[in-house]
Amino acid sequence: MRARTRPSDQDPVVRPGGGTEGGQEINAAAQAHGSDDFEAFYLAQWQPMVRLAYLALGSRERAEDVVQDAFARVHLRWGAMVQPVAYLRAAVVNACRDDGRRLARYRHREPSLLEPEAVEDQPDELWDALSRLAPRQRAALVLRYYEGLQEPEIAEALGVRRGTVKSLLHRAIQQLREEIEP
Amino acid sequence: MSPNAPSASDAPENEPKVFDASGAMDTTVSISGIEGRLADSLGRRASDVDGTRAAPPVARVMDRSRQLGARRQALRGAVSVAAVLVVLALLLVPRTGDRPGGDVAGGSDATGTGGVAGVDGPRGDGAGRAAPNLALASSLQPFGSCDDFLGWVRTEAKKRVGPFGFTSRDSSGSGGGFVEDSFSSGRGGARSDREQSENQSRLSPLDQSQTRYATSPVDEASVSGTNTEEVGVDEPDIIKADPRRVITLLNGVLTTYSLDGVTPRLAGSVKLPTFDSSSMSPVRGGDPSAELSLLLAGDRAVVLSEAYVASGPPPGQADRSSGASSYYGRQVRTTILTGVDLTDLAAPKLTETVHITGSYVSARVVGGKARVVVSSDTATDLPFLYPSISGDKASEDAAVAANQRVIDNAGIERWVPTYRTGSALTTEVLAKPPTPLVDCANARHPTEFAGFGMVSVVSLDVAAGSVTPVDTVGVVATADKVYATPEHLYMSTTRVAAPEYDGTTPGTTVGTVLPGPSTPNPAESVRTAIHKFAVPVSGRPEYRASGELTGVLLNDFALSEHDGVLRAATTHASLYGTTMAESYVTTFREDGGALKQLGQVGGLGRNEQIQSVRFVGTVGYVVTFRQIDPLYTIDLADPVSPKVAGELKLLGYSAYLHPVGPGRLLGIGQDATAQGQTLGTKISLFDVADPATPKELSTTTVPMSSSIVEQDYRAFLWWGPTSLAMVPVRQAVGTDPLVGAIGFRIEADAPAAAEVGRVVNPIMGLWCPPGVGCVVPGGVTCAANGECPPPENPIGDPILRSVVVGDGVLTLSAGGLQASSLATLAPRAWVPNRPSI
Repeated sequence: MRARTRPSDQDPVVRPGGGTEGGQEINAAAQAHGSDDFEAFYLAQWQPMVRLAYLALGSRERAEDVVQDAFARVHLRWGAMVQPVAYLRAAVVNACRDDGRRLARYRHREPSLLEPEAVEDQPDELWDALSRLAPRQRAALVLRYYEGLQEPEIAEALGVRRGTVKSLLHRAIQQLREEIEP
Repeated sequence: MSPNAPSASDAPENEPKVFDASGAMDTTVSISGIEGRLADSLGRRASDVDGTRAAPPVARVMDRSRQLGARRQALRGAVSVAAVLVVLALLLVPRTGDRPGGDVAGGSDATGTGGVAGVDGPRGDGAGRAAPNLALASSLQPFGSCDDFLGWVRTEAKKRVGPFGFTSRDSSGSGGGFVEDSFSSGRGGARSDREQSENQSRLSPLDQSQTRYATSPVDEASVSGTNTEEVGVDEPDIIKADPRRVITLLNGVLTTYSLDGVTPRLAGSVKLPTFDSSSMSPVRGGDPSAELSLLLAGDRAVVLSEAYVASGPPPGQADRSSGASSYYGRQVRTTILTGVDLTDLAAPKLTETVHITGSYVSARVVGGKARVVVSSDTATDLPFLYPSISGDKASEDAAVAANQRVIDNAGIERWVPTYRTGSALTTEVLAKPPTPLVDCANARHPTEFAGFGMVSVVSLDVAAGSVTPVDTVGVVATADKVYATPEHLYMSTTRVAAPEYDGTTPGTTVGTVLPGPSTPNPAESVRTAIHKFAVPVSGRPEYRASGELTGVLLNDFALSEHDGVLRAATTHASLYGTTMAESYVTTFREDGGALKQLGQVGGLGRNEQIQSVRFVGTVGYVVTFRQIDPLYTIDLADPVSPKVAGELKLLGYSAYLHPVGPGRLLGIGQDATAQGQTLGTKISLFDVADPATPKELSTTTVPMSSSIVEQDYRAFLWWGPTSLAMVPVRQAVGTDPLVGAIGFRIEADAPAAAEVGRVVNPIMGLWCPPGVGCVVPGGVTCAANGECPPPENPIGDPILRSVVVGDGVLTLSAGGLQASSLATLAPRAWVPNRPSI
């Protein structure tokens, strides 16, 4: 059994270019590839990624941590990045997923932990229902309905098969429907 | 989370229901448009985090990156060992009977050599090892009519449809059996082609071909194009030059320069349509203009690009045009062709725009005629229904039956890509039915099913200024790579064995958890079919023959035709794993409508990753890398029994190989330690006059640097008449870091590549819209009038391309063109691509 490599937990598979497979270290090249470029990329993508992470997690503080970590991973591979945005997005959602999974354990005991800084300007039943979804379902929904990605790209970002994406989305929508339209 | 318990309202007992996944067309249950509410809610909520805090300093990210790097180093040893064990285990797993559903013909080990563990050393295999039925399985059959087409596609589709549509264990249903690539590919197999094609080595011209025009102070023979794959076949790029002018395409702007002698003068520019409308969104969330490339013939140019584009009018809901929160549910990946009239160089004009549904794969130009390859994932848009209760047999059966009806009701327009003409996709334009791209009579399908997508070869008369697709031929498959000689076009299609629906849906049974992370197909089911077309000077490409082999083409340089023999370099291994198993070079000859395998040599770079391949005449060069770089020379003089002639082991690797004169090969890649850690750009000159004993003659190393040539062969330039090689390099450390290009003189029989000089393009301050102003990287604040002061640490702007014009070299960077002396590379003039503010 060989699971597809996901950026959140292992070296990414970056095929064209330097290639990171086979244990090749490209850190040197990454640094050489232009820190100016990276900084421009960072400045341009920081806010979109914080938005994405916030939607997937429901917390701004954690969103920023997750995004910073994802950028660090991108920086590590900067020299061989072919699609830094796609990679970054995948790193963000996967980190959100893992972060969410850790927090899910506390969900039943300490619900307040989930929204330490939520701005409750108005009741938002959909937003609340989102927070009760499995992290992976929530991530898939955000990629689909916020980022506007198609199923194959969601599959890429989450490191799952397309069929899994279909069923993740399907079940998530089903659950939302049940919760807010009884 | 636990599986959703079916609610009474959703699914009364014994009354299975189905509903539409998109909520657009509900059959039994009313849908409240929750998807729309969700998109609205997410878009609104996203602004919760806006505007309160700026990005923390980038230094913090870099610190974190260093921590991660250190941790990774510590883990590396252990990981390498594990990777080898995984591969051994995979190789030892029995091959047959482990996949449900139909498998492809010819067995799972079709080449007769692939995947054999523990074979010593490279070896040759003569003819006769190929399974002859493979060529037949992949050979392309014509459809007589649209009825034939529909009959065939419905039969294949109904075999494969399940309760969730074309969902399969391999995601190979709606994807047309394509191979899901990882981050290297924005789409499935097809997208990866172009990106991979930028990382290639392949037989390419010893001198550069370029369309030439009119009289000019510069002799037409003294203008180079950028690097292409094959002599006499032009390719799209971001710069095109002829004796009269230079055209560049950067940041979504097409810029024209007139050539006054050898120094270009800024003439005019035109901005390509941006993707800011609600009907379009960029393919990769990044800068859409990064995707643009340019073809030039006569006074006409065609700009090729890609975007997600609305496939029809908005579905009756409010326009969500506000940037990232747009809901692109009805947008499809689209190839966009934009015509540009360059008759008045000072005022280039956009003429006509054509939107073709499908991903842009590649394009080639011979004699002013362009052949553009587009890969369309046609079946994804079918309005499939889902079961109301996952895992419930009755509900799933009902969904399968409903989905079979969907297939029966899907007309020809669902299966054939279409196009629209018109620069603006207004609701009015979108409301009209699009034009089918391919006539049914010009479409073909492989004998053996290979997916539902369609690969189309579109012809354009660029020189006549037309971007309207004509003479289009289609193949029901998904594009992988494209390779063309002046007479032939080869298209490869890669597929994973697509199982038929066997009545069960994996992982969706009530009471089980959702499926875990994917387990990609074993490598041995990845097969590559190669289809050969004859391309006349004008008119429709004519299908000639097909062949098939196990494994994947390393990149699209991995195909090469020489003396009627097609050579293909493939890797036979998992696409997803951390280790490549083994690579092969296989020879084919067209014979009676089939590409028949002549011979094969394998055992190249076991457990190593292929870095580059190049075929030069009757010799093939393959570079693999794990910790050291074996450069294999492969003797193809007798195509029936190719053999490894020699091998040269070096530290580091060459990512790109270019023939630089008789018996000489230039390699551009990375130097590395004995542990495989890269150290910086290495430019090596090899003596390959005797294939049995390849030798490294000289190397130039630029510590802690990289070259764009590693990713994009078009950035390299070899100018035969003065034996000049130009290699862009970016260095980020040292007291005087080089961000520019190094020129080498490589005379025939010289013992070393001699450095001629270095070119540095100045950085232009970023331009910000007047009245707005902006902050650019490095903390420089631009004034409201758009003027930006020079950065504090001026180094060169990265050089993207080099071309030769007369006795000068032009180097292209984001800000414009630098003109330098061809003989010495001494700077002559800097020509910014916009007037000074």
